[in-house]
Amino acid sequence: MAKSEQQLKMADAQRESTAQRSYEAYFQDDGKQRPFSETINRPIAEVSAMLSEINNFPIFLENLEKIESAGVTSIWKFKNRIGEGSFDLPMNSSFSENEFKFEAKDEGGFPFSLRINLVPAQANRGTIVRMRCEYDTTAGRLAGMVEKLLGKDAMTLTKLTAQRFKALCETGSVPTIQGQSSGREEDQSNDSKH
Amino acid sequence: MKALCWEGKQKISVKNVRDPKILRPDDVIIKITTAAICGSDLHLYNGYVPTMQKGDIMGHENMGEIVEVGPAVKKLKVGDKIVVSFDIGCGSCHHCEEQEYSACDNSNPNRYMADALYGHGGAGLFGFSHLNGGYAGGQAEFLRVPYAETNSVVVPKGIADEKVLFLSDIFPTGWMAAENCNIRRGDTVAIWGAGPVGQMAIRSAFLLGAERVISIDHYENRLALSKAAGAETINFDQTEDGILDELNYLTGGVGPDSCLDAVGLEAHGHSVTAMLDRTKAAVGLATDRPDVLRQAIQSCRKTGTISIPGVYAAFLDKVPFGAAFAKGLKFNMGQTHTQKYMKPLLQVILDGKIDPSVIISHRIDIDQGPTAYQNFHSEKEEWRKVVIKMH
Repeated sequence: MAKSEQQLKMADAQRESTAQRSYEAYFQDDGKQRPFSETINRPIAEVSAMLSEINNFPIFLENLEKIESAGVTSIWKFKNRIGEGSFDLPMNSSFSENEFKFEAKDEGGFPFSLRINLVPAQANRGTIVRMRCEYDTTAGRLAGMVEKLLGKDAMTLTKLTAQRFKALCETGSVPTIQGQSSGREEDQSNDSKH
Repeated sequence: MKALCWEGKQKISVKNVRDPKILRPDDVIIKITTAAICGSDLHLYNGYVPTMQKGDIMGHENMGEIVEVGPAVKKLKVGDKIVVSFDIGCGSCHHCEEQEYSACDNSNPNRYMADALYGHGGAGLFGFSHLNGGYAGGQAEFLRVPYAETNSVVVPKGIADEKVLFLSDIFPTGWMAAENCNIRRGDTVAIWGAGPVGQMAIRSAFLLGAERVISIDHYENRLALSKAAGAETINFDQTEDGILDELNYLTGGVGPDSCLDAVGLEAHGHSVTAMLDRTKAAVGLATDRPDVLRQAIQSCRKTGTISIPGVYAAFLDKVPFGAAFAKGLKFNMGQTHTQKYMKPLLQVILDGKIDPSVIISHRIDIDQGPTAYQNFHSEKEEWRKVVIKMH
């Protein structure tokens, strides 16, 4: 279907805005490291509303079990990535127009941050989400190198998180194979239910 | 339930595993009535596709009766019989909205892994490695179908499973491959591979307006089926001058208007390059054996079209891209957007224009699965398409 003149003008304005943003700092107060970027097939207001609901975070952020209180400060409860159990991380949150920043408080002892900003996508294709997770591994530099080799370093975690967030926005949930059947040892009990 | 599991290179076994359960609100569970072993399953069987894990359940050509539906499922109900697409679309991303389901952004939980290999990863696939999502396949008694309303078509009661099962993959794959040939009325289409996809492509090409289809293989049983569909045939084992000369002769020196590679990464043949490919693959210096693609590029007429439904996995060596550029060839390829074609092709079957069941050569039960894989791999003259009767 042909687009109206008004729609074309809006698309042009959004394109200019996106192009302009690409020459600015990656985030308002820091341009040091390029974030990962995904396009979400939903309008920016809808994506922003999804991020404003903090209880959505454990759905798309792997290893985050729950957030105990919302607001400027909150406790984020993460699963340990190695072994059993979990650990709590007090976090500060700050929001400005289409920019979201979550940063661990110093007393948490684990430098973790999640930064997200939203810009309109070209050609009325929804919203570009720019995201960056940063953390120091809990087990030191060597463990960090192992994490990178195994694909769960901070950049990989960012990609996975951004893709899961996109799926949540577009489909209402994240894709999963956790809990499906397989011929691996742990799945071989035949508890037939059908 | 019983399931056919990948246990390593050239090793499939029947195992008792847990029944599947609803994991997402838009899932359904089906009781498999009929499934099939696809030629591309042999790529997994032979260890050509990375990221398979011991215990993965095989199978991406599936149909069955719904026994359970998730809370978000509105248009399907328990008791419906559905055919399931081999590729999994979420139905909501930009690509799914454009009916490019195999490029779905959301269905592959491991897309970040596929991004690393391909730049941008595609949809999840049933039973086709963890790079493609790690979804359990349907060569089993039951199957979980995610995003079920997007990835299925309800079939009318009373129609035999064998007539409609191949809507799950090879019929849409053959059809889209023929559509990708940009056929104009009167065109000549050359098709490498007279297996199931090649057979579907032959019939589709005629329906889409081709005047001549030339089918190329070296299994006489398969070429006989091509002839039965109206195709001319070339047995490449019996062509002394090579495919290029043979096709030039048959087309008055012009070359086919379009060339369709329904073989993919495990090409056979006795050319020097084919033998070199096999040697390199055997010692781990190459992944894919692209000799059919080389022949197709050389043979195609100037400004013609190459259509590639055959699966390629990674890197291709010595592909004559200079010839493709010099001749101004067009390329269309990729996994099939199955969901786009399921309903219209169901109607083609109901109208009696194409009967996909003609390609079936063997019918087995699940306990015969491991032997069937072995035979399908080593005795292609006799074993053309294997159907597993489940319930």
